[in-house]
Amino acid sequence: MSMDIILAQTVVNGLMVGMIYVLMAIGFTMVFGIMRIVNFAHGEFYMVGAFLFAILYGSNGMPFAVSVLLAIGATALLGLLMERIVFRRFRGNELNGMIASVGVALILQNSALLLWGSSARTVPPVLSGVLSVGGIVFPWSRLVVIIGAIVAVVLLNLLIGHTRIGRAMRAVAQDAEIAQVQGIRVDVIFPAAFVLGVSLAAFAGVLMAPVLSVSPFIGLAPTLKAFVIVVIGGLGSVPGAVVGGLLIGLIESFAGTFVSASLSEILQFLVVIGVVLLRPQGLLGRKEREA
Amino acid sequence: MNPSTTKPMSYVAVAVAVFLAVLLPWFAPNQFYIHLATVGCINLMLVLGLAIIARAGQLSMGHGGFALVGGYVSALLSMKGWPPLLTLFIAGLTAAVIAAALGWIILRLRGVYFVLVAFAFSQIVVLLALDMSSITGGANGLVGVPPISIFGCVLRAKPQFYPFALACALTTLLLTWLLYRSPLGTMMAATAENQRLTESSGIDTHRVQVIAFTIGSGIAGFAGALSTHYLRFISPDSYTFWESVSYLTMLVVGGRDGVLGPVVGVLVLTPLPELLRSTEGLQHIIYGTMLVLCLMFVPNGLASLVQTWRSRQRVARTSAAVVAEEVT
Amino acid sequence: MSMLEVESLKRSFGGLVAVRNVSFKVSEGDFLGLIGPNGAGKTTLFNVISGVLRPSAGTVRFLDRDISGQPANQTVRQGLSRTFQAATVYPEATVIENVARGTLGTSLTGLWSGFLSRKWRVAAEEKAYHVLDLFGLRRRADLKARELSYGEQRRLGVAIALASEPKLLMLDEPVAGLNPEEAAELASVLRRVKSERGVTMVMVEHHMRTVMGLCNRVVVLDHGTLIADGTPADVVSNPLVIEAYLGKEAVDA
Ligand SMILES: Nc1ncnc2c1ncn2[C@@H]1O[C@H](COP(=O)(O)OP(=O)(O)OP(=O)(O)O)[C@@H](O)[C@H]1O
Ligand SMILES: [Mg+2]
Repeated sequence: MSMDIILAQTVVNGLMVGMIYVLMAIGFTMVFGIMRIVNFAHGEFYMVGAFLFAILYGSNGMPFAVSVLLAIGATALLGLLMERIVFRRFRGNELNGMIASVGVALILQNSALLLWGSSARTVPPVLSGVLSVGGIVFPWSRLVVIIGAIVAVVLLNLLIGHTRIGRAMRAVAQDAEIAQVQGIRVDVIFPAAFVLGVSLAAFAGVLMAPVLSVSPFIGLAPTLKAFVIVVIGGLGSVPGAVVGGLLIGLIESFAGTFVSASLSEILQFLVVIGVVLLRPQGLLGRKEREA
Repeated sequence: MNPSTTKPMSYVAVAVAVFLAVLLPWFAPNQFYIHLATVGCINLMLVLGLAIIARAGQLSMGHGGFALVGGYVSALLSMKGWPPLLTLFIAGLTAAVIAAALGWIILRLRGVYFVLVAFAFSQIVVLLALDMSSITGGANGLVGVPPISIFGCVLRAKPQFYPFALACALTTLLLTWLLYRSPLGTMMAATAENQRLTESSGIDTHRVQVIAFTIGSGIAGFAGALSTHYLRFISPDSYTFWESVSYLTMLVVGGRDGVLGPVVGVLVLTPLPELLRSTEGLQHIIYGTMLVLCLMFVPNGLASLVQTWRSRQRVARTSAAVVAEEVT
Repeated sequence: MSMLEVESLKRSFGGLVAVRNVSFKVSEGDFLGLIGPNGAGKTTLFNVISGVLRPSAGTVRFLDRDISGQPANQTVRQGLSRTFQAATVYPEATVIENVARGTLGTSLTGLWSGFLSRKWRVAAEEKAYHVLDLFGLRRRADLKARELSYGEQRRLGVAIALASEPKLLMLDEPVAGLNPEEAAELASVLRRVKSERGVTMVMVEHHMRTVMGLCNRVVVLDHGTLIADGTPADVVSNPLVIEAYLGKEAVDA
């Protein structure tokens, strides 16, 4: 294989993984920005989304679109349930909220283990074949992930930027108390933001299911990644999540191809420490009020 | 802290508990109970380490990472022929030094960042253990770690290891109790409760937090090493994120306020995984549920139920005194 | 002798300049009032002086030593203590424990002292009881701080700051939210602290009667700028000050 091809594929892989991270990180950062909860269960919703899709589309052969919608819808419902029962009690309580989310992660992961078993499942690709551009081939199975994720990010951007509920979310993220005084229904915004974040995670899981194999244990790694990215990009910042996600995806892909996967993890760790030391508000974050 | 928490009654209760723990090998129906008690001792040390960090207001999601470091250090050195009794302490020290360095670098960080760095650190330890397979044995881990021997007595079987583990756990418990009563412990509690105010009372709160992180992680390193010499085995799977989570669960369920909380948490939650070995998933679901329920309904842990009752009495007493004073 | 000298002090947050080129002095024995409309930058000025925030420019000298940008915990150990506008106590700790914690930073020789001996605690509590006596809180010693009334909590906040035995005590709105009796009581406590312990004080306060009754000098901050410095009587008749206040509050009234 020539260098060009390797490079191109590394970039495509980096973008694919990066876009998945972007989806994960956006949901993670929204939940933090709006509810002030570091959600360690975030990746478990990704796992549930992937599993449901694998069962509906892979095992039961349901139509693609129906499987996607059902998987996301059911996961969102689960998210709503968790928000109602658990998370809403801890909003604003950073420490206990974080610990509670760990409890939820334990429950979700191991319920999946009991329900669906520990063996990994594979899902047939949604699109097969390759796209060849100037002699370099790109597998459609990966391009689908990138395109799907981009569509989701664009739709989300429209939602946040141009709808009433989006504006309300931004206001609550800025200052929940002031937003409430301005007449924003904070009690609706919190679950809405949580469910939106969960849906993005579920969609990421759906997109990745055909590329990776699906098991109950796939949730933790993307949670850590989302956390890392969100700190690099700036806690609570959506553009920061996009930049950070692509950055980490590309670092991972390049370091993984040319050096080693664990070196890439160590590199990311150093990037995190560097960022929190030199620019604690993150690359694109706003400075938090001190004192 | 205040006189009411150290009444003669409490001393009697502690003495009885210690006595029963020491006698366990004689009335345990079989070796499985001794094994459980040994695991409990090791868990208690780990949870106390976590408690010390939490005492200063920080949450470590990477506690298992330090136990793993300790386990590997002690295993590798003792396999080279160093006496395990010595390598246990070197393991603790190594973990403490790493924690101090990490803590010093991330010294100024707010809670959330600290959590991430500790969490990411523990993941990296696992990766390194997997990656450097020529030294660490990779995913297979290290088998045949030498047993601990004290004055020529080799702690190979369970009934022999248990007293040593118990002694270590009780020493840790005692030292933690002394720490909590010391000025440093008082500063830790103050920092956790109101960092800004503590800083403005002339206390370097970041230093206090780094010291707490160092001590707590050092204890984790020691405990990880102890467990490695007990099981005679260590692998990257010995302390995953989920182990860190289970110590956190024990701490939160037991209570974060004093030394009683970790003891209660360990007593309640250690038997569970051992009893439910066959259905590991169920065990974790129970852990998760208890964690969430405790946070919702007894956020200060089961041990706080005792304290609440005590403080009710205290309030009743004080207000009675105040009323009496105001009447006269 | 001048105890505190603030020179051309500036602090900005992004584009917002909260404290702009402020200079003033506090002499030993002063009771200085710092007044100004909401958002004038009083708390920010306190934060910069006490080391909670770093200055963007300018210097702070305390007892002839440059303390600009020095962390708060060191400043306290040199004898400058301050209270906060909100969250001034340890709510879950007992009243005596609250004040005992206030003594630790300045009275201990090292972190590891007192690991086995309990002498330090006896000493700390003894000191703390003296402070509680001064503030009329001894009877509340064994209650948790959150069980106190709001007025008592505010008093406890000042007691904690005093426990570090400062030479200069800076109070951020100590009587805010108190009823008239509580305010008068705290004022008399402050007067007593000043006479019995010889502590120099700086106080941010909106309540003019308290300021007039306690302070021998008043400085006025408006939009981050110092616009007046003089005796209370001078300051309240200063046209600039009247404008700064009336400009806003005459409309409200
Ligand atoms: N940490 C911060 N980050 C950003 N802006 C800040 C910060 N602290 C204060 N400000 C801004 O600086 C200005 C001065 O605030 P400050 O709290 O010092 O006023 P103040 O005089 O104490 O008011 P008040 O009487 O209401 O207590 C305000 O506009 C405030 O919004
Ligand atoms: Mg103020």
